[in-house]
Amino acid sequence: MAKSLQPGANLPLPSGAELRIGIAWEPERPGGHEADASAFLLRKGDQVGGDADFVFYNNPCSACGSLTLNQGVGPERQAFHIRLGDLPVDVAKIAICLTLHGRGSFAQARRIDLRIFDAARTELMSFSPPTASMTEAALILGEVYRRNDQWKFRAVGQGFTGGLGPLATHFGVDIREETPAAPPPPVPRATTKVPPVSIGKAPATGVLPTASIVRHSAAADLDYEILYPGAYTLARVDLPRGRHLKAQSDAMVAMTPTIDVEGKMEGGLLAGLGRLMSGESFFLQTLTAARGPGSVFFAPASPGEVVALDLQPGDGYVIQKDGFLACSEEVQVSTQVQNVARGLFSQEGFFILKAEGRGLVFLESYGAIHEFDLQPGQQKIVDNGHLVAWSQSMRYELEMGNPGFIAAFTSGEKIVCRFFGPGRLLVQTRQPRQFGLWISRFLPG
Amino acid sequence: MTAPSSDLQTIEDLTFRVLYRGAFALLEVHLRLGQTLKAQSDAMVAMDPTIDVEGKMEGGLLGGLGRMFSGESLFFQTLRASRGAGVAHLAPAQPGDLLPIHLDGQQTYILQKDGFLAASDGVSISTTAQNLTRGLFSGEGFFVLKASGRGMLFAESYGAIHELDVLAGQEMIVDNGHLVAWPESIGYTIEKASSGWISSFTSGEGIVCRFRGPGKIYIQSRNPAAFGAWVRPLLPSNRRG
Repeated sequence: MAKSLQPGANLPLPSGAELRIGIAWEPERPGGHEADASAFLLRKGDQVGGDADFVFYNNPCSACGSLTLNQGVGPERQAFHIRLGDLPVDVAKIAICLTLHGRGSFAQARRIDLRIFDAARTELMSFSPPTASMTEAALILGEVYRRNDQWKFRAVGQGFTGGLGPLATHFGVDIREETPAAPPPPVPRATTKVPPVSIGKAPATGVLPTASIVRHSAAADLDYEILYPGAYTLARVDLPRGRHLKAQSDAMVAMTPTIDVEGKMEGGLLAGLGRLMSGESFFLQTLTAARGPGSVFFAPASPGEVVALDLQPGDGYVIQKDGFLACSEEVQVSTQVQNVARGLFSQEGFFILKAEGRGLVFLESYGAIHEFDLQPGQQKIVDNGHLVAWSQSMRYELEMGNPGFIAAFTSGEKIVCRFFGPGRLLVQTRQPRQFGLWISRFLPG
Repeated sequence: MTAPSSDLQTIEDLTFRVLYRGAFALLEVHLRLGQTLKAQSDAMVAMDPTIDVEGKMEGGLLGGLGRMFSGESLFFQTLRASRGAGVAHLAPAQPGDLLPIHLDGQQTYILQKDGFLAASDGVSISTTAQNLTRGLFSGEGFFVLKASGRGMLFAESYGAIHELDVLAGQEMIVDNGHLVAWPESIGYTIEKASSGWISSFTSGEGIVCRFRGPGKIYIQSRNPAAFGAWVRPLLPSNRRG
């Protein structure tokens, strides 16, 4: 007879045969967030013995093979199969968890049910954690644990702040990103040649509007290509084995299977938070040619151009918050608040990114990118919304675009920047916010 | 106008050209008396008065329902040159390019669900759900269109169209939101974005397809969902819905 457990309660489990732990939840995407079951094989001190003890969608089978994540049966969305008798002897506990992808909470789930079945598909016990008042996006449903050679299940139903990443860290999974290390020794050019991977060709019956050229970045020692310059630019970088590229999250379009994508917080937690505040995604992606040389295609979210800059030490660039697309590994990207007091009347404040070091930086724009090469003594006034990037060495001042206070609210100008040469200044030919105003007049409803 | 365009050509009995390739491509077809073309509803831009437009459900009721599930309109338009030869111009709703695909009767092509613009009469279009067990933990369905038969097929993109020629023994991983079209014969699996540890919940990618060569796949250089996320904060607050 199946028993319904209350939080904190436990029951013994038969250890001889395979058990199924089915997990059901409604709706399928609580609050619009995808839900994923995961399990942690915990050893001494409630820590995993290694990353392979973390069973989730990217690792559906434990290293020992006795715990697998599968599609559920009936109302179950996912299920774990466990052979308790085959678990390594030092596994003392298995934490069964459910997490939401994104910033939701389990209060958005109508119900969650965990049911345990024996090999004959007889239901042994069930647990439905109360989630109505939960604020967390991670939930420890229960624990399968060993007590004096007897396996038991304990209902937990405990929320955990921060989702799957922090939960995995809590259990000792190593998701810590490497601190910026010395760049890898330059690989001799002769050995960096990547096997040809389908460079852009015109579709069979078409004529592509523009030709593209493969270029070489001396600063990064990388080959790259800018395809389809104009509204829908596509960029390609060829990575020798072991090299990586940092990119705006969601930038990846296509890649060879030698490339691994990882979410990575640039410069640690605070820098990551800085990025969030500046309107950028919280995470950068890292694309690593982990298993051999490969190619990555990437593109911005908005229509517009992609421009590549070769960065030399001491020759950094300041980039407006939406202007960063990608960079090679040696480039340091940081977030800054710029002249907040001066930018007081700007609705969005004025957050910027800085790119420094030696390497290759890809900028994105809305519209085409136009370049000014300011000479010493030359000044240029640029609307804030049209800025893409400028030489870090260049002095500039924020100003109200129009004389008088009222004008700032009625004209589109608001804030302008006055730049003092010498230096390089890149502007975009369209302004996203003006596009928003323009298109909103044509949206139904 | 001086924008780049291709010359008129006739393939599989259909005479056409693509004008203004790039962000605002336009398809021009020259229909003989009695010749028909099926098109995504609302695709017609201009036509000669010799042409009639009919709403038509491709593949009967169930085919139509299938199409609705896949996010496409329920109806196709059929353009018929019923009173004499005529020229019609067709365009996608979104900014982007067009890809003419020649179906030789052997090769079936798969289009992403928003990727169909038009096809000549010998091409049949059906809706199919991708093998969901492949996308086991993907959390979302993955509907696509299948184009088979003999004739010309015109796929539409958001962004520029790029051809990836995946050679035998090669693999290529493509973000789901960037797919336009690929031959059915090319093997592929649906996966979460990252094969590495932990990565997929921190990186921005959703689902990817891993293609195994040989075969040519067509991708678009922009992702409509990413564009949506980009444009949303730009709208005045009462329009963000």
